[in-house]
Amino acid sequence: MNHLQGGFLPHRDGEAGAHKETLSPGHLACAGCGLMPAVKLLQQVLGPRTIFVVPACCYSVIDGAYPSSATGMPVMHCAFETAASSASGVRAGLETLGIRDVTVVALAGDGGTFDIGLQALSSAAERNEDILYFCYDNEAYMNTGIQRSSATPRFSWTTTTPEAIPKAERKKDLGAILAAHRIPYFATASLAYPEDLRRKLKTAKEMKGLRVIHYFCPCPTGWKSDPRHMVRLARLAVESRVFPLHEVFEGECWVLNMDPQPVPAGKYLELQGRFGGRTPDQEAAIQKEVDENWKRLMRKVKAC
Amino acid sequence: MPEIAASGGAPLPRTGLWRYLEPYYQDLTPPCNNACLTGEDIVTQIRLVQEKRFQEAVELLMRVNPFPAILGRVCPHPCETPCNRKAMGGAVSIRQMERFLGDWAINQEYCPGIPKANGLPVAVIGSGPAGLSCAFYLRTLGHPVTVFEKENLAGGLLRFGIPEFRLPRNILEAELSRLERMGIQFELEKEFGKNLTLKDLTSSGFSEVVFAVGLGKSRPLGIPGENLPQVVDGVQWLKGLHRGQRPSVRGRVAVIGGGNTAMDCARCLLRLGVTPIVIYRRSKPQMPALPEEIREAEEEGVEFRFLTAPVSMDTVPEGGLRIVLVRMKLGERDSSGRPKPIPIPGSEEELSVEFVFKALGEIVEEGPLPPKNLQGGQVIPCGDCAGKGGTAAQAIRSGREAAYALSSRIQGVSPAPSLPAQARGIVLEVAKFKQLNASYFNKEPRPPAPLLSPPERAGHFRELQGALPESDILSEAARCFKCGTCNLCGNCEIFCPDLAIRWEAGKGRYSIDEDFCKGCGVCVEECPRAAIHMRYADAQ
Repeated sequence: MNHLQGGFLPHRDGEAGAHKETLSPGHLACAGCGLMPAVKLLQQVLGPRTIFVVPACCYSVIDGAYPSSATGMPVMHCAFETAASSASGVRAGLETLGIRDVTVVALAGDGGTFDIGLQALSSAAERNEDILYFCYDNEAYMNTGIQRSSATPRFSWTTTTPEAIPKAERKKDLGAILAAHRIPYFATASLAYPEDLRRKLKTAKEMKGLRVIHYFCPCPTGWKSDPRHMVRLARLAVESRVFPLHEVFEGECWVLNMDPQPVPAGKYLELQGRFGGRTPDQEAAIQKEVDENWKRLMRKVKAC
Repeated sequence: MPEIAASGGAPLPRTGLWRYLEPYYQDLTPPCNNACLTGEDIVTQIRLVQEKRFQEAVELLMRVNPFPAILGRVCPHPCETPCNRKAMGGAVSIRQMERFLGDWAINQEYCPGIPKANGLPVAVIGSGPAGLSCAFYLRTLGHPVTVFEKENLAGGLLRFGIPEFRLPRNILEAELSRLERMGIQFELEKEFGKNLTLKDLTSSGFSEVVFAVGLGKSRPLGIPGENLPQVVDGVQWLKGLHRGQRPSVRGRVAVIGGGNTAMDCARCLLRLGVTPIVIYRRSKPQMPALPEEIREAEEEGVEFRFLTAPVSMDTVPEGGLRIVLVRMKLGERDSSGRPKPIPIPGSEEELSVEFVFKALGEIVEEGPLPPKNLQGGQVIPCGDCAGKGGTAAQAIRSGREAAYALSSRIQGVSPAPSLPAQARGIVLEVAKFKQLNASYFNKEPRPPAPLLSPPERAGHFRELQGALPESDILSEAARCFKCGTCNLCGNCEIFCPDLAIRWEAGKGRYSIDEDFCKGCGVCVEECPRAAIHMRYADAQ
């Protein structure tokens, strides 16, 4: 991906201000939050006819305390486990009113998706509800104090998996779970490749049924990383194959979007304090897991 | 669709107050701009070329260099040496780009805009690169200019020093004709101190005189036999050759020296069917000639004898010359910064040749211009005779600086900035590769410039190096990193989590909203070309 090579001279005055951002500055995200640029892109691609349904997660705080809201679009806050079912309800309400041009977006963290909200998501998938489910995966319950979730990677520090006893289990494979539901569209996305992210959002917008975007969301606060490395970590996660960019259509057709020259996972780990206590053996185990996951994914991609 | 429920009314907090670091936009000096001998704003030129805005690129280029077609061929291009692209596919072909713009200007018969003559005429003595450059800029600053040249053709070293296979004469003529179109007068066969005096000039109304007479005297060998008829002055010989004379040199010829004069003599001799042997007292890395010329001379089959110096020469009855050579070794560094060559006793050997070429370069000619006259008053020196030459590019810069200094003095105004980059408000810090974000660039190879192969070069004086086609020039412009300069790629805006980076309509730039920037530094990290930097929030 090389969207910036070259560049251009100042002559954009004509088009400047063409897209007025809906999202407002002054939101309460931490410095270097990986979610906010994605929300910005989400709003740019989906346009003003969008309703956000937000369970308990970082974004429910980021949006601001009532009555202020940074989103600039309708937001419905709902209970932790109900993102997918609440969004389904909003969709049903709109149907009843005969409104068909509105995109309903469930914006949920990994806790509300991988753990607490999985049942609701599975049910919505089974019913193939016409909603766009955007899971921003920062790999722990960041909003409540960095507790481990089933999206937390192995050997990562969290407040519930201290450095002496890091998380022993591997990360849950959300893509495979959703593919098993045969939903129309599932995609992983990373901010380091904004053109790819834009394209996937556009693809999702134009489809019907349950579309899930699994967005890799670097979190400087929870990952104990330098806020300035937010995009770099998003890029390294893809380059090291820790978080491969791929799409799944109808649960059957697996497509790999990015196949960069792989870098060692250590390059990605070393920038994060949450892996600061890793031993060489643990790092090798992480690399082994990354390689196995890549092979599993490639088997599915090649089978299509 | 329902209205936004009850929200949006209350003001959001000024989250910029959380910040203890803050980003700021600041262009750095690109390494090419920093190294340019004439002071070109290379990166801006490249950006204009990339957008096919060739006329604007030429206008910008000619603010510091009136002869892009010439320097685009003969400049030693120190701009390409520090190019940060080197690490990812090879330096950008900056000289080829300059040549492209120069040839474009010639084809379009481009001529810079000239203000009305201001009634303050200036005489320029000498029509080498320094004199011509000085005349060009004096004319663009409004002065009527007359150039006096002792030879019957203008161009100085560009015409009588640089061989045609490096600088075709039609290119030189085309660049010179632009000066004539600008209204610069040429008076040929006027040699200062012979048929032209300071009195002549003042009585013809010239209150100001610029001296750009070059050096003019060959450095002597200082060994017995130097004045034998078979010992040829290389500079004078080249001059005759470029006048169209085909001197009767034959057989084996020793060329003594390691500079550009020696390379030019050897390569011209080779093209005339003579076998030159270059004799140089130091070794190859110490040669003052341009590396490119040395490499091409070697490719063409010029024989080199390094660490060898002549001791004496005498004639032999058969008609040739016998040179006694001595082997040298390198010692301590001398005042020139190079290792001093020391003769090895007892290592003498003999070499039989037909002719010997003295090609040790030139020194200041004594005579009409005593050094004390070269300073102050009505006389301004520039170029080689002011010690500011060396290469054509440096002479051109010296001529331009003399023109700006002279013009501001006689017009009684403060000197205008003669460098476009100064006007952009850049800082002196040079952008380094490690400051760039290489993730945004692919490894892409530098296209090879067309070059005649060594066998194709024999027997004629046609140009060696060809031009890159326009498509390659455009891809080279795209390959350039634009180090240290914001080219409005928009990365900072895309990745800012706080929507604190905004496009300023009408101003053509981005700005940072201090009320909301939390100082995360993502914009600094993700700027591909080191145009945003970080400081403590109270540092301003």
